[in-house]
Amino acid sequence: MNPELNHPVKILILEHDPDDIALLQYELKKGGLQYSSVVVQERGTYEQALRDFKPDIVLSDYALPDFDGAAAFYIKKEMAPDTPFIIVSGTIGEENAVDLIKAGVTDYVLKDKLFTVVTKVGRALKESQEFREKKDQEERLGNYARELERSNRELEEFAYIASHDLQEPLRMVGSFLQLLQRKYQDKLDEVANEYIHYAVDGAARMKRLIGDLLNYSRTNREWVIEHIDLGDIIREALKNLTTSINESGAMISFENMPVLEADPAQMLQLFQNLIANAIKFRKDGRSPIIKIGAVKYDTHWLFSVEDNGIGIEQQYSEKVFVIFKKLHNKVRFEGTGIGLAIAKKIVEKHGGNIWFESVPGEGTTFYFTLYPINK
Amino acid sequence: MTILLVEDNPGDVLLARVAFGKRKFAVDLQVAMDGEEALEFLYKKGRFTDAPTPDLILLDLNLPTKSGSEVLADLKNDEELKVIPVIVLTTSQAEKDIIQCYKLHANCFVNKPFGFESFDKVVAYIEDFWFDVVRLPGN
Repeated sequence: MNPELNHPVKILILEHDPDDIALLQYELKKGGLQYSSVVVQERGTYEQALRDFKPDIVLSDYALPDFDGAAAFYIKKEMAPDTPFIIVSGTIGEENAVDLIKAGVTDYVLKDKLFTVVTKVGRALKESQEFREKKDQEERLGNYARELERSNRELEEFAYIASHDLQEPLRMVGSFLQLLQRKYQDKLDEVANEYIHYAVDGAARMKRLIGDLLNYSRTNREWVIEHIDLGDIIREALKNLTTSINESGAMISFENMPVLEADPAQMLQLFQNLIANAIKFRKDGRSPIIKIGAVKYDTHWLFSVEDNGIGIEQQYSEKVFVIFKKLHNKVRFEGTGIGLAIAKKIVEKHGGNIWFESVPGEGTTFYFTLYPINK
Repeated sequence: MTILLVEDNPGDVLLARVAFGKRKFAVDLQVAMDGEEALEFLYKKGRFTDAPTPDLILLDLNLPTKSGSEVLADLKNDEELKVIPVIVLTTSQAEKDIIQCYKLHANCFVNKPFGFESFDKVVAYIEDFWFDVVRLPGN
């Protein structure tokens, strides 16, 4: 009969009338409840019992000589906030009862319907058990979230510091190799010069990787939400990409760009990375045609960046978004492989998703969603 | 022309020596390896009693003892020393460092470039601008 507890229910009874006490005990036993009880009738012993007996539930009369059921409830609320509290009374009015329930009293039992007490105790215990479990779970989730946040912050801090400090020795390697080449070029043979060339090239590439890592870790650190016109953002991205647009003869169009709340620098980077990719991965002998679109849904915006480039095999649908993951050798397509990783991070930071659809050899369309940001 | 280079990395000091050595101006490149030493040099304390007053200061930010920005703050609070132009020369690209340096009245903020060729170019720009274009006090 006590499915919620693995011990007899500890009931604290606050009642002064011996007959009422006997009746209540009788009902509880009749209902088959396994319980132990402590009966008190004035404030001092009541508080002591709350402290020492640690009841699972309190059954309280409403009208007491020493103090009343409402006062008893507020004392309980203070000392044992999660313990259910049921008023057992013959005198309580319906209106009074509703007020008490509103204030947090679990339930009430009228003395002329005392037979309902076991059901009500059972229900109250079950609910309080569920409430405790939910609270525990929320607390656990809260702890996980805080822990995750902390470790993320640490990781970003680490990436930032590491990339910053890693640049120093690398600059030394690159600089002195160049100096070596410059000063001793004439004394060195072809092979030595070629070796130096590869070493300098490697150092320069490493520098770019570190710079990108720094950018990537920065994406989460700095975050300003403003009211921005994405049309303006795209125009700025196109301005930044002027050289490669002119070189490739790319035709870029966009329409229906909304005004929304987002981080302007991150939006610029997002569109610029996607457009730059669309230009970079163009098909030989075919000028890039890039169309940028936006569709409004009830809860979010869906954006698309469509190109007529080399396309991406579906098997790489996850890999393309992984930092420093490249699908091509560096001779064919220069780059570190960070553009889409940053794009993904930005989109996710804005509460959205990013994915693509592609026909290899025909072109790729990147899609991403953006949800309204609460400042 | 006397330049005080405040730099704890011997590699950077050597790069600067080579780069300044190639230039048309005869530069007396003095070096302080940390923040405290830079201030001792400028206040002509201890072993620096005979040190010359530099025409220009090249200041790294990430320094042992006193940091570059602390040195900068001290300098720009000193009636005599505040007239000497300070060029902050650092790898830091952090916006907060840039803003902080200008707030402390750095005369300019330059990133250490990657590779000797670029470093050489930056040194050439510095020399051309600060020794040729600009008028400095007492020259």
